[in-house]
Amino acid sequence: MLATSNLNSISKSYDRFGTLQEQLTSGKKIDRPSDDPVAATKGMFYRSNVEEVGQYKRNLSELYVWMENSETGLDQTNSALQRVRELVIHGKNGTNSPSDQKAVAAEIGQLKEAVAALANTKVAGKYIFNGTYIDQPPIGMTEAPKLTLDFHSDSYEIPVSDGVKIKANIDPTNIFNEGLFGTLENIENKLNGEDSEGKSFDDLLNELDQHLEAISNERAELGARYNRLEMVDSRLSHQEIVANKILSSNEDIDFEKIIVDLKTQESVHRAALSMGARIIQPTLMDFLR
Amino acid sequence: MSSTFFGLETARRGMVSQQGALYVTGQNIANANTPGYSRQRVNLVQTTPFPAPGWNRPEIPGQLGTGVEAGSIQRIRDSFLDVQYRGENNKLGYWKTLDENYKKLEEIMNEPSETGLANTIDKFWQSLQDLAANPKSDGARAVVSQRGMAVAETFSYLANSLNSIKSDLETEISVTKSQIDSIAEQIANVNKQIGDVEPHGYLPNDLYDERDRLIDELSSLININVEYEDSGGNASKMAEGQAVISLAGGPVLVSGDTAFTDMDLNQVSIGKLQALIHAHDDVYPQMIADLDNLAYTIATQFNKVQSDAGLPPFFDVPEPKAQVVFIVDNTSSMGDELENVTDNLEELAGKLTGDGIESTFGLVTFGQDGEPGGSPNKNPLTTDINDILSKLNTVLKEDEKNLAEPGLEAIMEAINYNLDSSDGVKEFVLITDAPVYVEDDEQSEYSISEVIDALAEHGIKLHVISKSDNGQLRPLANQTDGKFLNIDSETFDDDLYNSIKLDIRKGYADQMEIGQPDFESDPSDETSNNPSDELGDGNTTNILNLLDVFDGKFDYDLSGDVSDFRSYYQSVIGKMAVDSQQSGRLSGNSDMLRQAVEERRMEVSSVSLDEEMTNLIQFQHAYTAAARMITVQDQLLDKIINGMGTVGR
Repeated sequence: MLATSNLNSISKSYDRFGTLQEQLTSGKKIDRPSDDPVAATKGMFYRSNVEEVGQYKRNLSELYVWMENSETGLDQTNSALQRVRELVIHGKNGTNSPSDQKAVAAEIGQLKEAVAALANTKVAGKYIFNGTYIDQPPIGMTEAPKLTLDFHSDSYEIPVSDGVKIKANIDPTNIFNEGLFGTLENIENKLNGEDSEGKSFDDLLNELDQHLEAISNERAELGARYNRLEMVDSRLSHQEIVANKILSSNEDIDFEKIIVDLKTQESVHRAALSMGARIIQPTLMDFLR
Repeated sequence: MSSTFFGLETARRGMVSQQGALYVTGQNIANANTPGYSRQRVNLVQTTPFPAPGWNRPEIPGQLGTGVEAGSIQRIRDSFLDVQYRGENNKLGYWKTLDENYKKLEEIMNEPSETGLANTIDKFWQSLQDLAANPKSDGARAVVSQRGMAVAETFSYLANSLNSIKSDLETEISVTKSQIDSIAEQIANVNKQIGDVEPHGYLPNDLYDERDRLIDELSSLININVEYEDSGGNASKMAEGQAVISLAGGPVLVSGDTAFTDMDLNQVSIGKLQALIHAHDDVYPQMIADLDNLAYTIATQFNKVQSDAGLPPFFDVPEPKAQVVFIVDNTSSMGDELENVTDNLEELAGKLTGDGIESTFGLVTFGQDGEPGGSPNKNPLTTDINDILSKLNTVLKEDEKNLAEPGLEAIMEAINYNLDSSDGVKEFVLITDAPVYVEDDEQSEYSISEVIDALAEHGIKLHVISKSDNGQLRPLANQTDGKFLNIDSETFDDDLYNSIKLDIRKGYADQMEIGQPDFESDPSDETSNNPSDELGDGNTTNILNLLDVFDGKFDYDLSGDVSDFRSYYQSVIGKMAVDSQQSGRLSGNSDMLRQAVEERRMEVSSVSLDEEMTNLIQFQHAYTAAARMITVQDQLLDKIINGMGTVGR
């Protein structure tokens, strides 16, 4: 009877060893949900949380691509239009000869095509200035210098959080509209000595200024959105850290504690084994003649 | 005057008894390690003293003791501890088996982990998010279809594994039943052998030990009561008798030398068998039903979003169909209940149509107003509830209320519709206010259990709508998994409707699949059901709507409470975890208790070599002393015979 109860105690000690070893090798407090049901269900929730935050961060990088490229596009359009403005001021000087005017007109023609090409900016296979119609170029340039405009202005939105979406594109019809290309064509025509809808150089300069202001406004709006994006980014980074921290504190073991427990259990085990040996061995028979 | 050899005989008796005691000690030592062995001891009693009182007694001083004899050889065993042990063993059998099965369940579900269902769904969600950011990317679309397939495959794999364990349990249940039968037969055999020995006045200790060992083994399988009956004949007062083993509060399993092996063991409470039955009937089916709920709801909601956008369905969900047969008591006694019944049936049909469930109805009417032998009236199947309702209004002749009717014949007639499972789930509804004729009262050729077996064979659920005190009909509902509802209730159509809905989605998780055409074809294919197909290829509204399904709140288990996918799944896993933890804890506790009783039992009955050694010395010395006594008697006799009357020799 002593032998059996001894054996039972020793095997219970092995059980405890087994649990500690399992925890040490897996690094997790729980091996199966029944070890701690509350931690298990919370663990499932936190895991999903961590995955979600990670995914939203990936979406953010997509947003960055859009916005930064839109910004670059607008910037270059701005530079092109500024150059046009300089050329107009230079060209409306009555002292130029017609061939000089024609040279200026040619340069303006090129700048117009450059702006059109900017409107057709393609990033990672997507046209960023055509609303949600991302596989259609907004400006048909096959019959250059004649341009066919086909812009869509709907919002291209990307989710960054539960139910929260941020618009990634700008409204291209604010910038690359008939008005802009009309103005550029008129300037070109006027310099070439052709009909320009009866507008004077000053009228055309005013129109140019309006277009430049439109670009400026759009850039401001984009800038504001970009700031918001950065705020969301920093919030998500913080969330990611917190989510991982909670997940870890819920499930992961405390290495030092487990190792100390193991050492303690080991010495208890050795003591049990040695005591057991001393108790069950001697019987009366050893002492009788 | 006592006899010459009186002292010799006394000493001889001493020697023999001590020798017997030594043999018993030797037996104990030899069996020190035999499992189930109870140590034996000799009861030494004095033999009858001389002389017996009477008229003709010799006038000698006092009554002389005449020595010792071994009265009986008894085993040391506390039967109360046996009862306690069997009780604890029984509980241990139940909890341990239940615990093992829960552990298997947890291993299959594998949560929380990187490879469980929750993670697969998360990855699917991520792929949809990526698609929302890149709607026209071929890569993103391919990933969505792959991850969707992974979700369907995971559901299917889980349901499949659970089903296969469930059928393993069936095998285990039948093996356990054979085990119980076999042990019962062995006990009956031992009973017989004991019955052969005891009437001679002997105590067959080894047979008792064997019988107790068998009963211990049996106790872990089922909950039993043990009683003992006299063997008769010249049995000793310490004889234990024949064991009569009965299931707790129930039928007898072993009586004397007969074992009743054809028991309905499904009525047992506690024990390993009960745990297996519980796991097979409740634990695993519940988890499978939960998976069905999850899979079906996700699939139908996804498909709804797709169809709202004019796209083909994402998941392959079979059309919901139901075949409902009403078996109605059509006698005059039903007069006051008929209106309520028709209202309910009409509402039921309305609900089914409203949910898009294609339903076929059947009607079998029965009732002879108390005259047996009439046959039920089977109507053709129809999809229009009004056909059924119009036929219900024909009422037979006036008669007394609540006489029994040939309902069982009507049910068997309904089975003859030979409904095919591929045409929808099969639900029968028995509507009557009276009891039915059964085989026992000789008014019917069927018994209730025959009808239940026939229904089970065809996979049909029978609901019973009747008066609440009609206990006869309850087993028909309970044992076919149907509901027993009150005929006067205004809302029994709700219960029927819920039952039909739950049945329709049964087994869906196992067959869950992505819809055709196959995603592996060109994703820009016009007929593809990829969720990003939309006018305006950057338009992500449809994808965002699909993402909302994950967060949307639906009534997953038709209980009236809504929750979103993750919460529902977490609650399912949480419940499983809590139940598993409980059975683990109780299993540990039962084990400890059983061990404690076992130790106390061993304290009483097991062989202590120290004690046997001491006894050995004791008996050995007594034997030597008795032998010395014989020598003394011998010398005395020698003196008498050879030394007296030799004067002058």
